[in-house]
Amino acid sequence: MTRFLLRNAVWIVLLFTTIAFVAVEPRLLSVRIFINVLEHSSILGILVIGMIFCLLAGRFDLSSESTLGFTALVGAWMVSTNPFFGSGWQLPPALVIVLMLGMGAGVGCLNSFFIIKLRVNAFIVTLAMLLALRGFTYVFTNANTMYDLPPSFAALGGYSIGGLLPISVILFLSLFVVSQFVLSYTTFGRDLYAIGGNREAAFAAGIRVDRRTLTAFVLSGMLGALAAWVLAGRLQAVTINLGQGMVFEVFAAAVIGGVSLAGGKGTMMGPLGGVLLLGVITTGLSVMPISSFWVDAVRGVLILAAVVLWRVTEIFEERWRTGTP
Amino acid sequence: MQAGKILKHAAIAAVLALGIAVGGQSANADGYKVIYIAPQLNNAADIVIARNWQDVSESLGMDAVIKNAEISAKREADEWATAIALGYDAIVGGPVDSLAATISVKKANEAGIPVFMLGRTSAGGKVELIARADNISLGTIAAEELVRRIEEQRGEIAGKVLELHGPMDQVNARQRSEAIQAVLAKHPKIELIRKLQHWTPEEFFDITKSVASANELVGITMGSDVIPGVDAALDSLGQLKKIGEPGHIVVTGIDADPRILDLIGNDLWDASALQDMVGYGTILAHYIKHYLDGSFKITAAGPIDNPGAPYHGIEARWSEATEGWQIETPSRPVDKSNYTDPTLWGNAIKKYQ
Repeated sequence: MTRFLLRNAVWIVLLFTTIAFVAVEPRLLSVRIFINVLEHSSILGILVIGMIFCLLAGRFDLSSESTLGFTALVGAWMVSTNPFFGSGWQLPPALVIVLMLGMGAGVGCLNSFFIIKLRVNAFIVTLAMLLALRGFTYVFTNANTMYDLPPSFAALGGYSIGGLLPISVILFLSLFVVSQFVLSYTTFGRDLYAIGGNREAAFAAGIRVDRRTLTAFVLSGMLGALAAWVLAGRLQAVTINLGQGMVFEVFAAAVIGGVSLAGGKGTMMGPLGGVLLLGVITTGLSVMPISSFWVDAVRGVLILAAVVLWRVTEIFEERWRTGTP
Repeated sequence: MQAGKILKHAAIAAVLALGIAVGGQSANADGYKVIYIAPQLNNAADIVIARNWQDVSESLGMDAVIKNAEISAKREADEWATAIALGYDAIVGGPVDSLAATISVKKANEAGIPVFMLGRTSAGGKVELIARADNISLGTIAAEELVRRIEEQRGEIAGKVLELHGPMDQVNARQRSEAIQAVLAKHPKIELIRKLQHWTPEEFFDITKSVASANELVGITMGSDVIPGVDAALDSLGQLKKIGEPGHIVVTGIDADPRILDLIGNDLWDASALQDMVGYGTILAHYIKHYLDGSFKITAAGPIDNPGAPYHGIEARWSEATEGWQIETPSRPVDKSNYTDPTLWGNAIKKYQ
C-alpha cells in the first residue's frame, strides 16, 4: 500500500493541492475552471511528451521551447493575412502546418546529427540550438507580432466543442495516452528504456541506438511544432518571445512525474500528473485573491515541495529494490 | 586533409561575414558616432524606439548604431564596456536593470563620454538627458478611459476590474500600475483584481481566462497592450463582444500597439493610452546633435525647444528628475476617433516592414 502511494505520489499531491485550493477559494470548483486547467496544461503537456522521449534515451532537449517559438512565428508569418506584418504569401494553412511540422522534424534531425554523428554533448547542442533558433526568429520577422491568422489555421488552438471543451485539451490528453502506449507496447518504447538504462549494453544487444535516438529527437521537434500550432491558434497572435522560459517548466513537470534525468526510467502518466499539478497551481493562484507579489514565491515553493517528494519516493524505492533498511 | 580544407573555407567565410557585418553598420562615417544599447528588441515597441531614434539620428548626419542587451544586465554591461572602449561620441542607454547600469554609466562618465537615456534610466551616474514617456500619465489615461466607458455602458462606475500589471521592480510598470490604482481608488464600487504577469502572451491569456471564468468582469486594463492574449482569452470564453453589444467588457491598455489599433478599428477594444516613443526618441536624437555641436544645452526647466521635429502638437517640458534632466512626453487616448492617425507609432511602424 505504501509502495503504491509513493509510486503515485504526484497524483496524491495533485489531489491534495486541488482540495486545498478549492477549500481556500470555492470558485475554483467549477467545470469552466477545470477546463481552464486542462487548457493551460496542454502546451506544456505536448512539450513534455517530446522531452520524455529524449530523457528516456538518456538525452536532453533544451531546444523545444525555441522550436515552438521559431515554428510558430515563421508559420504565422507565412500564413498571416496582415498586409504589413506578414510575409504577404498567405500560404494555405494546411501547407503551412505541414511546413511547421517539417521544420520541427528538421530541428530534431539537426540536433541528432551533432549528437550522434559528431558525438557532441546533447546538453550543449540543444542549448546552442535554443539560442540559434531565437536568433533566427528575430531575423525572420523583425521582432514583430504576427496576427490576422486565418480561422482554419487557428482552429486547433482556438476552437472548443460546445463552446466549452477546447480541441487542444482532447489532443493533449490523447497524445499522452498514445505515447504511453508507444512506450509500453512497442519495440521503440522498450528500446528507449534500454538505451537510457545502459547505452553500451543496448548496442551490444543489437538495438539500433542511433536510429532510436534520432527518432526521439525528431518526435521532440515535431511535438514542439505541434505545440506552436496550438498556441498560435489559442492566442490568435504570435510574439517573438513565445514559449520563452518554458523549458524550465517542462523539466519540472517531467521530474515531478518521476522521469529520471539520467535516462531509462519514467512513464508518461507520472509527468501528466506533473503537468496538471503545475496547471492547478498556476490557475489556482490566478483566481485566488492572493497578493500579486506572492504568486511566484508560492509557485516556486510548491514545485520545490513536489520535486522533494519525488526524490523521497525514489530513495524509498531504491531501498526496497536493494533490500537496504 | 578534407576537414582542414573545410575549416579553412569556414574561416574565410566567417572573416568575410564579419567584414560585411561591420561594414554594414557605418552609414555616416564623417558624423558623430553614437550608439544606443537597447534593453531588448523583441517587440514592436522596442523596435520602434530603436529604429526611429536611429533614423532621426542618421538624418541629422550622425552615425547611429544599435546594440541589443537581450534583457541581460551582464550583456548590457559588456556592450557598454565595448562602446566605451571604441570611443563613441555619445552613448544612449535604456537599462535592463537600473542599479546594475549605474556602474557602466559611471565608467562612461570617467571616459568623458556623454550619456543619454531612452525610455528608462539608471539609478546613478551622470546622465545628460532622459527621454521617456510620462508613465503616470499613461496609467492615469488608461484608467480614466476605462472608468468613463464603464459608466457610459452600465450607467454607473461599479463592478470587478482586472488589472494585469508588470513586475514591480520595473519603474515603468510600477508607476503605471500606481497611477491606475490611484484613479480606480476614487470609485469605491469598483473591485480591483490585480494580477502580476511577466509580459508573456501565455500569461496574459491564462490569467485573463481564469479570472474572467471565476468573476463577472466589467473591465480590464493592463500595463502594456503590446502583449497579445487578452482578446483571445475573452474570445475563447465567448466574452469578446463589440462595443455597444450587451455583455461587452471594457478593455483599455497602454502603448497603443499596431494590433490594438486594428482591434479598436473593429470595435473590439475600447481605448489605449499612447506611449509616444516616436516623439521622445526624435527629441532625444535632436538634443544629442545639439549637445555634441555645443549649440544647445538645457539649463532650466520649461517648454521644450521642439528641435525641428513634428511632435503631434503635444506640449512637453524639460524638467529636473532625481537622475538628471528629463523630457517626459505626455500620453493621450487612442480610440475609434483617431486610431488611423499616421503619426501614432503603431501606424508609423509599418514603414519599417
